[in-house]
Amino acid sequence: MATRQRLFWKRIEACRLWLLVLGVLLLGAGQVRAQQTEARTASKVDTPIAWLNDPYLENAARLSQPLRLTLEQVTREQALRIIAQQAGLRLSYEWSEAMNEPVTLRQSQGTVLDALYAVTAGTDLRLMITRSGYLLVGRAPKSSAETAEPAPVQQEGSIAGRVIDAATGEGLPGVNVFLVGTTLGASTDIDGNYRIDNIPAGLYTLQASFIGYRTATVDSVEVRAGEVTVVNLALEQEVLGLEEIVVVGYGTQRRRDVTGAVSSVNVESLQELPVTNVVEALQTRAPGVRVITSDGRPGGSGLEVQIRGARSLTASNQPLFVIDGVPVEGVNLSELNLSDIVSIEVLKDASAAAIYGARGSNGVVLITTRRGREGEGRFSYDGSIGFSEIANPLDVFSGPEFIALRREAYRAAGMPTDDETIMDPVEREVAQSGQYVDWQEAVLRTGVRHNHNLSYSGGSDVFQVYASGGYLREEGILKRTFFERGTFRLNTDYRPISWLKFTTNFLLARTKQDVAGGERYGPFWTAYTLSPLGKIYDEQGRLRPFVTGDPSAWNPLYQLQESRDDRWSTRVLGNLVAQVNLYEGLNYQLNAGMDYNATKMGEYRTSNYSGGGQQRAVLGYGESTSYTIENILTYERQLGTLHNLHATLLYSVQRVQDEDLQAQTRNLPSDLLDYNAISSGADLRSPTRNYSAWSLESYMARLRYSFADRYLLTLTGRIDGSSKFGAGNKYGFFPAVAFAWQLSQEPFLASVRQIDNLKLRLSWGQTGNQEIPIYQSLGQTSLFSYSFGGNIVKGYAPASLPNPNLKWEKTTQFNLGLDASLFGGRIMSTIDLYRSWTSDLLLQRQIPVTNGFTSFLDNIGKTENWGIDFSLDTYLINRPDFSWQVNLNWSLSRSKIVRLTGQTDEAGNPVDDIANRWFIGHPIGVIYDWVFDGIFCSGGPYDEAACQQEIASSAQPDAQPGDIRVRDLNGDGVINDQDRTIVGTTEPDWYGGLGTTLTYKNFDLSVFFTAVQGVTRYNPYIYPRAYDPNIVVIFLQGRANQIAVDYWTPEDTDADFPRPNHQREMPRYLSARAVWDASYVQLRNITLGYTLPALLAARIGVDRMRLYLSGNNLYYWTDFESYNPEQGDVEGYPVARTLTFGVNLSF
Amino acid sequence: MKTYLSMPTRWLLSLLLLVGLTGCGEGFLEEEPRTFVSTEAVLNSPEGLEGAVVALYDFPTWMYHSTRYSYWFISGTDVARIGPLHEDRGTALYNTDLNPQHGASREYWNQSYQTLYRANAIIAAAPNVDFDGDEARRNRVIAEARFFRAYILFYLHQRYGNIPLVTEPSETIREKEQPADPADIYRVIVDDLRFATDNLAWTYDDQPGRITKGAAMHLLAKVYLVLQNWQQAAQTAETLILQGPYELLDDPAEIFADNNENNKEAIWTIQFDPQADNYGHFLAVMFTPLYDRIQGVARTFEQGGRPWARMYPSAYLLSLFDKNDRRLKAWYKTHWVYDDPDEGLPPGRQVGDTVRTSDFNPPLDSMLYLHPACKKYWEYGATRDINQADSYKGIIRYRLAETYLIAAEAYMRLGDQAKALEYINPLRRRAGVPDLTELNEDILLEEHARELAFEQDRWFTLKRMGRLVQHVRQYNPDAAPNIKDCHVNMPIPQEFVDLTGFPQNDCYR
Repeated sequence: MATRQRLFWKRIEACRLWLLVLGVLLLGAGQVRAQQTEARTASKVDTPIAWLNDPYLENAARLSQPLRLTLEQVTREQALRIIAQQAGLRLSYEWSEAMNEPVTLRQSQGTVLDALYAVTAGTDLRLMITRSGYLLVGRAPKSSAETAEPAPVQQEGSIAGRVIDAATGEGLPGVNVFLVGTTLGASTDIDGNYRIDNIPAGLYTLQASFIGYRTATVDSVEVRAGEVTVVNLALEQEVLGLEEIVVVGYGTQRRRDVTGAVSSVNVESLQELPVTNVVEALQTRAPGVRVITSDGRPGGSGLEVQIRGARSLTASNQPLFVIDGVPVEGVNLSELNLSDIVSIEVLKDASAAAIYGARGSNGVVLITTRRGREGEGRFSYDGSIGFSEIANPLDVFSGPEFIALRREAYRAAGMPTDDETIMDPVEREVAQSGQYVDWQEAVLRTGVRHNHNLSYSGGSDVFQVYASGGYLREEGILKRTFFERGTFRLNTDYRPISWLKFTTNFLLARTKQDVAGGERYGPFWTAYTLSPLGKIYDEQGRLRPFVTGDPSAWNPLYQLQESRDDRWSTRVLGNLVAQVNLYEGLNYQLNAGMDYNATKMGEYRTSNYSGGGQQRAVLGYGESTSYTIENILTYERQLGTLHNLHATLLYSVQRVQDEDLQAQTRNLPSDLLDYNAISSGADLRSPTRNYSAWSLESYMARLRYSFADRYLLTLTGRIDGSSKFGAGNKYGFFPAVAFAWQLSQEPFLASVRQIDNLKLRLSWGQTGNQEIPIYQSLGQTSLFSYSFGGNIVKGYAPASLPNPNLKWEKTTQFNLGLDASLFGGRIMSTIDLYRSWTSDLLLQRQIPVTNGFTSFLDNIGKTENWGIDFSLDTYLINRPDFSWQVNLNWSLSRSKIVRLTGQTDEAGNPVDDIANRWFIGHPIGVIYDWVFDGIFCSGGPYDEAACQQEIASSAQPDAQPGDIRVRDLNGDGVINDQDRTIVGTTEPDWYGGLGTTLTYKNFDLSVFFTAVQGVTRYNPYIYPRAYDPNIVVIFLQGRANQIAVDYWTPEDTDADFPRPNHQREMPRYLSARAVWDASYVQLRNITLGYTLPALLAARIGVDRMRLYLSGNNLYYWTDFESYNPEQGDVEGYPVARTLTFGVNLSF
Repeated sequence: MKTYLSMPTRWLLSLLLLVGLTGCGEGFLEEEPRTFVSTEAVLNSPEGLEGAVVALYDFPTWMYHSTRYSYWFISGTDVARIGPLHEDRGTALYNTDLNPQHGASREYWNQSYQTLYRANAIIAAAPNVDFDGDEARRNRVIAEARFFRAYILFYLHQRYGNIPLVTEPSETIREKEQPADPADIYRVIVDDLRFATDNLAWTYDDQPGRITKGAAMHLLAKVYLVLQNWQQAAQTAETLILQGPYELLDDPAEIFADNNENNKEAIWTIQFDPQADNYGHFLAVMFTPLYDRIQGVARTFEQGGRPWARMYPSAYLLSLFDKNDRRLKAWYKTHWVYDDPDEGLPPGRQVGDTVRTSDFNPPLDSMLYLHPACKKYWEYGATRDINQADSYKGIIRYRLAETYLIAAEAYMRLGDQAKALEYINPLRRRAGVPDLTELNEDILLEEHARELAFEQDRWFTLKRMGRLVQHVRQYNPDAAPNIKDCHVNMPIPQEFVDLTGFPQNDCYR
C-alpha cells in the first residue's frame, strides 16, 4: 500500500496540470458514457464486466437484483462499495487512480449490474464476482497496442508467470505483483497471468498481494538480462472475518477502522486443543487475557477469566460473554463446540466495551459461529482421539518414608515409637510385606477423549445454511469421571427480498457428566491423604471399605463404587435476527435471543457408603432462562468524498431467571434403583427450592465518523437499568469516546515504504459492573424449621443485611494504543497502554459479626489499574513451501487499592482492612501473613543447649526444636498479629504466550508456551485453610499422608520444614511456610500436522485432508509443588496431559 | 418472491416490531423474591415473629450438627481424654492448634453473635407489633428471645472472658468493638432470665423442647453461681425443684434411654428430627471405641453401634465411682465381649468372653480399640440404623439433677451443710450409694463428675471455681503438659480482632 501511495503522490506532484486536464476530460467522458448506459444494458456487448463467462457467474444472480440508488459526487471506490453492499457483496479491488475519481449516479430503476456499468463506464476497470461473495475490481489487461513498449535494453530482463487460487487452482485476475524494494510491478490479467518488464538484472524478492488472500512472497528471484524468469504463485484465501472484518458488538468493522482496543483470537490455532470449554483455550492467546485453570475436571469447570487484571474486590471479575449477539451468563461454555466457532474477539478498553455499558467493566468476549456460504455445499469433518494422564503427580511420602514420618511424630510427642504403637495391624501387615499403595495411581487412569464433528455449509443466493453435529466423550483421569456432549447447530441466512434478511443461530446441546464424588473431600483428596500402608482389596478380591484399621480411612475406590453423581444439561442457545433496509443506508434490526439451560442432577450413596449409614438419594431439576430482545437502528452515509458516518441506536431488554428444585430421601429399601427410586425412601427431607430473576433495560447510541479514512472517531453512550440495585440507583450512564489516526495514510509517512499501516488509537470511557448476587438491596431471610417433639414449626429469620443504596460499580478507563504493520505484513504489532479507575466498588466486605452478619455488600472504595498489552506477530520466513511464523503476546497489569471505607485512625491515616486482606496502596489480592524465617535449630549438628539458647533468645520462647520460626517484625520480642505483613501478591508481574508455527511443504508444526511470572500463592497442599477456612488441616502429624517435604529431626536438622508432632494437627505458623512462588512456564501445546497434497486428496475424493498429532499441557516449569500452580484448593481435579491424534477433512 | 413493499409499509412493519416486542411495562426492573419472605414481613406480624423465634432454636441444634465441635464443651477437662480419632486437638490438649485461627472457636463466636442479632431483632420489634391485645402472646415471644439472648451471652462470656455486649440491632455498621464490663453483661443476662421466668409457662405440653419457665430458672440459677450470689442461686434452684413439674427418675439408665429424651427429669432437651433437619447430631458415635475392628467382635447396638472414638472417660472419672454405683453401669461401658464367631475368635476364646488386648499377637493397642466409653448419648436404633453416624435422639441440655447440685453448692457456700446435703443426697440414693455426710468443694466436684460428666458443664464448673488448670494438670495426662492459666479463655477469632481492634486474650497474643 505504501508503494501505491507513494506513486500516487509523486505523480500528483509531477503532473498536477496534466491531471487537471485529464480530470476534466474524464468528467466529460463520464457524462457521455452515462447517457449510453441504456443502450449497453440492452446489448451487453463490450461490457466492462469482462469475466461474466466465469464459472462463478451462476452465483452472481445478485447482479440482476433491482437497485435504486442516488450517489452525488462520491469517489468511485465508495460508489462501488455502496453498490456492493446493497447487493450483499463484499468489495475487493486493486487500487488505481480511477478508484479515486468522483462519480455521480442517479438510478431510479434498473439492476445492480446497471449501476456497476454506470460507475465504471469509461475506465479500464473490470469486475468479477467470486464464489465467496466478493466483487473484485481490477484493471483490464492492456491491448497489445497499448502495451507496446520500447525494445528492452540489454541490461534488463523480465519476470512473468501465473497467479492462481491455491484452493481452486484457477487463475486470479487483478493480483498486484511487485518486486519488493522497487517501484516495479504489474497486475494479473483475466487468466491470472502477469509480466513485469524492464527489470535491471539482479536478485529480487517478488510479492503478490490481493485482498482476501494471504500475501505470497518468493525470495531470491534471479533476473538475467534479456531473459524472462518464470515465477508462478498460488495465493491462499485468508480466513475472512479474522484479519479483515472485526466483530465489535452490535455490528462489524474493518480492522483498520477500529478505534478501540480489540483483540482477535486466532481461532484456527485453538482447534486442536483438547479442551471442552472454549474458555480454557483462551489462556494467553490474546494480550491482556488471563485464564486461571484451578480445576481440570472433564467438561471444564473452575475457570476464571480476567481481562486486564482484577479491578473489582467482590463483584465478579469475569468478562461478559456474547455468543452471536446473545449475552450469556457465567463462563461455563462447555456446551459450545469449538469447531463451530469462526471468530473470538475480546473488547478490552472502555470505549470498545462501553457499548455493553453496565456489563463491560471486565471486558467483553464476543464469540461468532460459522455461517453458510453461497455456493456448492461443502462438508467438513473434524475428528480426534486423545489419551490423557496426570500432568504433574504429587510427590507424597512413600510407604517407608511415611512410617519414618509417623515414628518421628510419635517420638516428638514423647510417645512410644515401636511398630505396635504407631501402626495398626493392617498397617503392620502392609509394612512387613512392603506392598505399599500409591493412592494417586490407584484412583487415576489413562483418560480417553473422542471428538467428532461433521458440518455442512452451502446455499443459494437467497438462502445459506451452516449445519453441524458434534459428539464428544471425555473420560477423565480420575476413575469414573466423564463428560459427554452432543451438539447440533443450525445457522441460516435468508434474504427473501433485497431489503429484508433473516438470520438464525441455533444450538442444541446435551451434556452428561459423572462428577464422581465431586462433593467436598471427594475421592481425590481422600486418596492424597491416605496412608500408603493400606489395603485396597480384601482376601476375596473385593474392595475394602477402609484401607487400614482407621475407620476414617475410607477407601476412595470403594466410595466410587458405592456412589453415583450424575449431571445432565440441555442447553438451547440461539437467536433470530431480522434486518430491514428502511432507506438508503438506514437499517433496522431486531435481534431476539435466548439461552435456555435445563439441568438435572442425581446423586446416590448406597447403604454401604462411608461404611454405611450415609445412604441417600438426591434428585434435582433446574432451569435457567435468559432472553434478550434488541432493537437496533443503523444509518450509514457517505458525505462527499471524505466524510463517512455510521450511527447505531439500540434499545434492549434482558431478563434472566433461574430456578431449581431438589429432593432428598434416606432409608431406601434397596440400592438397586439408586436415585431413581427416590420415592421409595422412607425418610423424605424437605425439598429445597431456589428462584431468582433479574432484568436489564438498556439504551445505547454509537456514532462512528471517519474523515478521509484517516481520522476515525467513535462516540458511544449507553444507559443501563438493572433490577439488582436499589430503587433510586437502578440506572447508570456509560459514555465513551475513541479517536484513531491512520498515520500511514498521511503524506509524510506514505513515502516510508517499510510501513504498511500505522494507527494510533486513543480512548476514554466508562463502564459498569453489576455482577453481584440478586436480592442484595432487599433484606433476605432464610427458612428454619424445628421439631418440638415431632411437631414441626417453621419460620423465617433475617439472613442478610439489606442495602437499599446499592448502585453500579463504575470503571473509567483511558487507553492509548498503536497498531503497526511493517515490511509488507512481515511484522504486525499492537501495543496498548491503559489506566483505569474503579469507584463505588461493590464490596462484600467482612464486617464484625456483632452486626449479626459477617459480611455486607456495599459500594465503597476505589481501585486503580494500569497495564500494558503487547502483541507481536511476525512472518520471519514466508515462502510458498516454507514459512516460519512467531507470535508473542505479553501483558502486565497492576492494581492498587486507593480507598476503602474512608475510615481513618487516630492519626488521620486511612485504615486498611486486614480481615479482608485489603491494603491501601497495595494490589487487590495480597497475602498477609507472618514471614517465614527458617526452622529453629536447623543446619549443623543438633546441640540441645545451643538450641534451647536459640529458642530462649527468640521471640518464640515456647517453641520446640524444629518448629517454624517467623520474623519478629516490630522487634517487641513477641510474635503476635502485629508481626504479619504483606508477603506476596496473587497478581502476576507479567504473563504471556509465545507461539511459533513452521510449515514446510505439506507439514506444519506449531509450539505454544504460556508463562505467568511473579505470582505468589498459598500452597493448598500445605495450608488448605487458606482456601477453605473450615477445612481440617493435618500436616506433619503422621496420621495422614501429604506431600513429601524435608522435615526437621534432631538427626537431620538441615531441613526447611518443621518437625512432625503427633500431638498437634499442624505446626504453628504453618501458613507462613505455605506461601510459595507460583510462577510457571508451561509448554502448553505442540502440534504436528500433515496436509495431503491436492492431487492425492483429489484422488481419494476429498478437497482437503489434514492429519495431526497434538500434545497438550506437556510440561510445567515451576517451583510450586501442586498438580497445577493455579490449583484452587485441595479438592481441585488435577490437570491432565493429553496426546491427541486427529484429522480435518473437507469434501 | 421478490416483491416490494412500499417504504411506508416497511417503516410500519419495523415500528410494529419495535413496539410489539419490547413493551416491558412497569416493574420490569423490580426484584420480586419468591422463595423467601422479606425481613419486613417477618418482623411486622405476630406470626412472623413467632417464626423468627424458631430460628433461635437453630443455634443449639447447629452446634451438634458439626462432627468437629459438637463436643468442644466436653474437651479439655479432667473427665475426658482424647481418643484416637479426635479432630480438635486444640481444645482437647491446649496445644498450638488452639490459636486465633482455631476453626471451632471462630464458628462458635460467629454463630453466637449471628443468633444474638436475631434475638435482638425480635426483642426490638415485638413491642411495636400489633398482637391484637394478646399481651401474653407478645410476652412469650419476647421471653423466648430474651432467654436465648441470655443463654448466648452467658456461654460467650464464660468461654471467651472478654466479649462485646450487643443488645439491639444496630442502625449503622458497628466497626470497632471493646470488651464490655462483665457487670453490664450479667445485668442483661439476669434481667432477661427474670423476664423469661415471669412470662413463660412451666410446660408447653404439645411442644416439648420449648423454652419454659424451668429452663430459664435453671440457667438463672447457674448465672447466680457465677455471680457468687449464693442466696439467689439457692432460692432459684430450690423454687425450681419444689415448684417445677420435674422429678428425678428412679433409674439412672432411664434418663438417657431411647425415645425418652423428654422425660420428667429433663428441663430442656434439644430436639432432633429428620423431618425438620437434614442432619442429626453425632454425639451418639463420638465416644465409642473402635471395638468392631477387633476380630470376633461385631458392630451391634448393644456394643456401641458405629464408633468414632473421639473421646473417652479418664481414669480419674472412672476411679470416682464406687463399684456399686448404678450410674457407672448405666452410663459407661468398660469392657467388650466376643460375639461374632464368623470372624474367627482368638485361640481359647468363646462367644461371651471379655475381650482382652493380650488375646492377640501382637497385642492390640488398647487405647486405639478398647477405651472405655460414655453411653449417655448412645442410641440403640430408635432413629437410625447400625451404620448410620447421625442420630436424632434428643440431647438433654439441662436436667433436674444439675439443679439439685446447684442448690447443694449454693447452700454449701452459704454454710448450710444440712440443706446442701439435703439436695445432694437424693442423687446418691438414686445411684445406690451411701449418703454423703459433709460437703465441700472437692466432694462436690467429685459428685458433679459422677453425675454430669460428658454433659457439657464440667469445663464451665471447673473454670468457675478456678480449678480448671489444676484439675487438668492433675487428671488429664494428654493436656497436662500444655495447659496454662490463661487457657481458661478461648482465643478471640483473628478476623474479629483484625476487623475491630478487639484485644486478644492472653495465651494467644
